[in-house]
Amino acid sequence: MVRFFFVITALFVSVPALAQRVQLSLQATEVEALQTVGLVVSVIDYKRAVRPPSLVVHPDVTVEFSTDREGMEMSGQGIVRTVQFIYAATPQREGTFTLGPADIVVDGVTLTTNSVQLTVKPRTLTADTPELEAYAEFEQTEVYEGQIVLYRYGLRSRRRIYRDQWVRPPMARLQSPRDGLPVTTEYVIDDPTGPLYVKQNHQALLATAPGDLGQIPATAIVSLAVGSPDRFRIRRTQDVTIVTDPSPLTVLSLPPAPPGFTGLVGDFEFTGSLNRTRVRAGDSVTFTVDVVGDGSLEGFALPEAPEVDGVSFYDNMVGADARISEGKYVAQGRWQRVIVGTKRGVAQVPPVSIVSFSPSRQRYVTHELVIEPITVRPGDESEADVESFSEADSDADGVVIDTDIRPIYRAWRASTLPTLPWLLGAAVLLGLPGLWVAVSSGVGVLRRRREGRERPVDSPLVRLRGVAVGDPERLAVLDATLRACLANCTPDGQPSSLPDDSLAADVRAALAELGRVRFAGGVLPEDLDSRAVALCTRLDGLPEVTS
Amino acid sequence: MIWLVALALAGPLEDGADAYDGGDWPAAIEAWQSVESPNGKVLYNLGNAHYRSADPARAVAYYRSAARYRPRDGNLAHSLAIARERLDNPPPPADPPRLWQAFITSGELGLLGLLLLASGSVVGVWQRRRQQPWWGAAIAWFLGVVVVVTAVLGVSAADLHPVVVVVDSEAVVRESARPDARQTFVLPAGSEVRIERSLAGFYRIETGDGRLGWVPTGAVFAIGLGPAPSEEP
Repeated sequence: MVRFFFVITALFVSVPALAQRVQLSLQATEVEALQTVGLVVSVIDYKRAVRPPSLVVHPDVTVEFSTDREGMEMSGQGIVRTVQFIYAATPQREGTFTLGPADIVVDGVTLTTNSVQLTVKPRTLTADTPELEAYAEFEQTEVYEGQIVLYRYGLRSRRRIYRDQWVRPPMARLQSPRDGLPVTTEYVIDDPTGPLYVKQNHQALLATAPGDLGQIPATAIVSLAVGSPDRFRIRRTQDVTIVTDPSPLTVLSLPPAPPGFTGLVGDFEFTGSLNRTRVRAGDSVTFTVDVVGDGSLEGFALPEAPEVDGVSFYDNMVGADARISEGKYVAQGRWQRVIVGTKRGVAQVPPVSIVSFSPSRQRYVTHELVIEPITVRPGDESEADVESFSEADSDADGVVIDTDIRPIYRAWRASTLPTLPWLLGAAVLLGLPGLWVAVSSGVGVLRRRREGRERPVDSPLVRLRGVAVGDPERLAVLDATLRACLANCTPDGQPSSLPDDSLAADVRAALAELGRVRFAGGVLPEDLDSRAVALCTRLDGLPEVTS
Repeated sequence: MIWLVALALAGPLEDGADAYDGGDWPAAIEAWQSVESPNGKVLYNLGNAHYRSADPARAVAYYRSAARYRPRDGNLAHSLAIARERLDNPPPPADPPRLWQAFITSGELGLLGLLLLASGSVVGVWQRRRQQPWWGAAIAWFLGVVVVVTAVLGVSAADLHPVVVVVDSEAVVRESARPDARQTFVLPAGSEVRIERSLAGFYRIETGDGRLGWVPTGAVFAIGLGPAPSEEP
């Protein structure tokens, strides 16, 4: 049996929402019986290693663990670790099967995934099936004006697809919504007749006008692998041009709209929540409206707030986005209605009514979001109007920038300015020890310098006295001492500069004899030693010459 | 000591807060003004009470006085900005006499200097006893002296050149300190100006945009400059 292998789809397909910590997804939601498709368990943002969960699925679907892939993802909190456990799911017969949910232990906490649905068709694929098939179609052939429809186009090939280039129809009167970028999915289905390479694209389009908006065929130029790689591991490819069938689409007009229609077309779920029900006058509570659905949220705003005695309203859009996930368009958004208490009492705020058109029910539906009564307690009441609000930092209450002054202080302890005398007195008190250190140290330095000037310079004879007669160093020390004494009493250290000629002659003779004995070898004669010492003593007694 | 001061302050302060909660702004002002040595919080509360009494100019004056004690108070900065919004196109507000006073009080700076002085002294004595180099201590000591002197000069500058606010009505600014001197420009109520010096019943002021002139002493108000004029001087 040919073992399957999977081409991992782009991470964003399998990990569409970083807010979810664990997620189950299928690489293809529609396969034929006995084909094998990738079932992916994604774990997002974990710290400790996660073990592959054991999946409990339908008895007619064989599931085997295949491999795992670790990675990194960017999220609002920074870079987080992700891991994907990929299983091979093989349905044994046609039908619709629900896979999952699965329990996974992540960082010591058990998390449960969503479940996914796999549609299995009867087998049509045979060994005679063409090597390459192309398709382009709308997910639905009949939609309403303002509804999002997905245009799906792609390739199924027996050979590896290297490159594909599409020429799509012009899509007149079909507009790409602001959110929900096109998505490309690439995977391999393992079939008993051999692997099947699939590359599929989804594009969201907004039907802007009623009528027949069917599209002409799309054309694809596809590079397919031919044979085995050569000795340099370079594959040869073959370009094939293939044309799809036309894609029919009928856009229906909306029925006459009831009052308050928000313009939303799609199946939506609305939830509303109030962060608190008690508030001081002048402060605010936030009513948050979350919307999830398969239609576009562009241009949506909460219906106009009613006039309610004791409170005032300010609307604020937090954000909205959309994505294509598992072949579906999913839009979600959050709006906030900031309710400011202006007068003490209990404010009964009427529910928020949002009217949308549901294509599945083919009629307008009204979503009622009830707001609990709000108790306004005494506070900094003000007649001043709050003019604008904006999103604050991380305050869970949705803190807003108000244009009223802040409340008074009720805790009276506060610092006061030190007076000048206090500051100066403390400075003197604290600075005195340091000043004493500086002064005493300065005095010490001056004293040492003065003592240093008064101390007599050591005579060269001192060292000579330390070396005994007969010591091997005696000759060198004697020579050095005589020269040092000569240098002390003459400007140039020469015997000729001595005032007494006989002394100069004696010194010259002594130096010559010492040199002879030192460099010619020999023993220092006693008389030379005594003569040299006597000369040193005489020279040391002469006045010092300063340069 | 602090507890005793807090206890002494609590009476009129609580009375003022009760009056404020009940919407009786004049009573709140009276109660808080009776505090002999108001701190930054009391001055801030007075600013709030004046703001509620539809007197944004005096509110600004109290907020600016409170800012001497609480320069980094977010509530104060917010309320001051709100009160300024209510004024009728005043000139840019004058900065404090020393720019650092917008971020730190003279007292805080003085304490920092004293801390440096004390640490320099203690470490210096210690190092000298151990016959070790004491240059680090000397630098800290010297910095402490500089910081304390800066703080002292700051206190002095804040007393000599306070920021004052024009209240009640516009103030006519004249070329010299004489009632009949030529009028150079007019300051609307709520204008925050800095006093340069005083002479013969006039203050020489400088506006936030650098204009100079003389205004009668009664035309402006700040804590420490005497009671706020309630009538035309």
